[in-house]
Amino acid sequence: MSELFGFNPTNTLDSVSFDVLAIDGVEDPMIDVNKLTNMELNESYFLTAVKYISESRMEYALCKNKLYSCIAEAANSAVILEGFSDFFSKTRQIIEKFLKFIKSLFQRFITNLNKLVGSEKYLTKHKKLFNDFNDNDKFKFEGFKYTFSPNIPNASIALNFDNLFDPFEAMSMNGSIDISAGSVASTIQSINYANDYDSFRASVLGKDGKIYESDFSNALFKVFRDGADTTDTIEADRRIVLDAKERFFGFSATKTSVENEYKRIEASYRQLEDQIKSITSRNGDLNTAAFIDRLPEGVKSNATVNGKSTQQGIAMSADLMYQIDVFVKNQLDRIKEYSDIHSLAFGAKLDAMKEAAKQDKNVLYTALSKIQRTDAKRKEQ
Amino acid sequence: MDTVFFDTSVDSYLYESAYSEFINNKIESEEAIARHLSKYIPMNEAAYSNLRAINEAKLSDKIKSSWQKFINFIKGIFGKFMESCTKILYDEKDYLVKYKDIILNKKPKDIEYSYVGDFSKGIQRCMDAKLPVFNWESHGKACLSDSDAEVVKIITPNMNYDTGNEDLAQQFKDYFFGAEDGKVSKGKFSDLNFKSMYNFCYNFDKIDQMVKTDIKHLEQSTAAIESKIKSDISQKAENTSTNTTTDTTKQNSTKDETKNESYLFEVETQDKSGQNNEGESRDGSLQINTNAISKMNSYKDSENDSTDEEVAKNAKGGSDSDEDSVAKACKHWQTVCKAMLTAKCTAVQNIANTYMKIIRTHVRSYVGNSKNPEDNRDKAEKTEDYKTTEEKNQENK
Repeated sequence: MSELFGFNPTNTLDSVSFDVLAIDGVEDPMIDVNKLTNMELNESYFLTAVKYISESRMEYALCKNKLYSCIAEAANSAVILEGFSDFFSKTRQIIEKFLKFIKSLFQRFITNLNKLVGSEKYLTKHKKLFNDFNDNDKFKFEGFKYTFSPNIPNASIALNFDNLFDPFEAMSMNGSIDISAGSVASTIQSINYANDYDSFRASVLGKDGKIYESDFSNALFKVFRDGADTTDTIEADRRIVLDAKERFFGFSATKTSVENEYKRIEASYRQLEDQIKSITSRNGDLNTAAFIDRLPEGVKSNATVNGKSTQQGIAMSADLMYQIDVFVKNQLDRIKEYSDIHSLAFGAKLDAMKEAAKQDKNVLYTALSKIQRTDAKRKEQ
Repeated sequence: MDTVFFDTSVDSYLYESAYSEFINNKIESEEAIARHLSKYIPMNEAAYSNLRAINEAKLSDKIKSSWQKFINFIKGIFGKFMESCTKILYDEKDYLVKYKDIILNKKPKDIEYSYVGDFSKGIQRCMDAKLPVFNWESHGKACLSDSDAEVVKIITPNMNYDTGNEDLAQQFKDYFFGAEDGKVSKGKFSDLNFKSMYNFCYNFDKIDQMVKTDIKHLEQSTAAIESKIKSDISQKAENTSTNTTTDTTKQNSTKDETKNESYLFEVETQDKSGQNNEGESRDGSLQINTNAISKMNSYKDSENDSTDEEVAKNAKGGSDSDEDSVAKACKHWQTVCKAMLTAKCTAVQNIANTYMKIIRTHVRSYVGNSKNPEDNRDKAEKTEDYKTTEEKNQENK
């Protein structure tokens, strides 16, 4: 007599499980259709994101070290400006690489979810049976309540390069400002980077306040799991089962939502990329005009450069140009940090979505097994 | 109502383990940049010792902080592990008691099973793998090695580390599941030892002894690390006072040719006033003191020329100078310990889950799928480890 077993038999070490191959010599009909032999389904997108940003930080560190060596060893200001030019051209690729990485994550996610859902002929075949699930079939399972909001992670927040000029705007609140090596240097000093990143992490996850770097992985894990970092006992009643069915078979909606998220983030960073290009593109060795041009209107109209109005033509000293380059470099550091935060957040979300789909699948198999047993008993009677 | 346990390939241990590793690498990379930058900072008599002292203080603080973070991470992992164990076993214990006779005395039906690994071997390895107390004299050299092999040998002497496989976490997982050779256990239920599975699951809550020992050893290791840091600092203080004299002579010879003096006093003043210390921010990210850098424009020291290879090495935290050897060793020790402890927790938990699934399947093959097993729970006989009558008699004797 064959009995149905609804566990999810995987055969990889990432999720060691136990397979019931056959009972009383009769093979369990679910085994073949339910078997997840593809290792890719166990890929953690968050871990992939951690690996990616570790490698890209290493690359960025090399660029910085070369720049510092150039600055320290330069015989004159022209060499330093050239060093910055090299640095900017290399670091402009950061955004390009980041977008490619996010795209590859999304693509892998979609492919894997297609495999997970698309191969489910057994569940599809018995799809209608789920409507028969009733109170007698209820069961409990250890799992998470997954929570997804299309705005988390927030892709479109404060990514306009203009925002990076906020410190100058703050200076201009007190009247006219003179853009000089000293004022730019003090502006650089005034930016509290740690504070900025802590707030950015929070806003990416749709929260107020700050999330410190050390707490970010935990916050990412919990934000998509209704605030929990360990599983809880959930009673699978009719509503839970039908919701799981709707999500599982409504996979195309998830796919569309994920694609839209990718498009939003791509648009935000493309805009940022254009702005960076405009400010770091050198005309000869001078980018200062581009820099002044990018200043917020309120600042530009009140600003003087080394004591002269911006309308009178700008005379740049080597010191000022140097400070501006340092300022732009620091803003690139921030963008690197932002893109790292986004990489981790998207990786964590895709992980949670994949795990949610796997949990739904497990719930559906268990529910189906319960329904079929009840049905078999009824027939026996 | 039975509780079903699903397998997941992602858990919060995994996140925290990978992320804390990333943060450590990030700090290390930023320290490497700071070191690289500091090579270009010329010294004079007045600033030399202050800057050196500040840098050393920063480094040792970072080691302590990194070590404390590591311990907190491990405690966090264990906390979650114990929470899950308690949750799993809270319900399971009653189940085991209730169906004890079936589990242990009924002949298993003709049911086939398979799982990856050799769990009996894996459990034994998990129990045997105790984190040793870190000792600089015994372990320092191994921890300074670029390869994980020597550290793995200290932590799990019986594990055959595969130098060709860089995935340390996976190697530990394979080891604790008894699956290093890709072994798949397959057979019939009648081949399984239900008594040992029963005892393992029934006593699962006692696993906290394993956790407590590891945490105790970690705390004892803290003292060893602190003592090493202190002895290093005092050693360097002596070296610094000797070197200062030499450097003063060197600096005086080039004093008129560079603007180093003014730069150094600027740095010193800023440090003393506590504003924007060079190279330091709250999150450890590097900030450039632009005033200082701009004054460096004219500075050129042929001794400080660095090749691309050196730059790459520094960016990877590969400097072997004395001052960061402790940091490097601690980090290496932490990395291997984290991988080992995370794998051990995962293995123990997964093995318990799998054993319970097997036990439930065996029970179901006799009683079917009872809708309300709780109904009879009050009648269940509470018991200690299962022992056969013969074993009990032997003990009594």
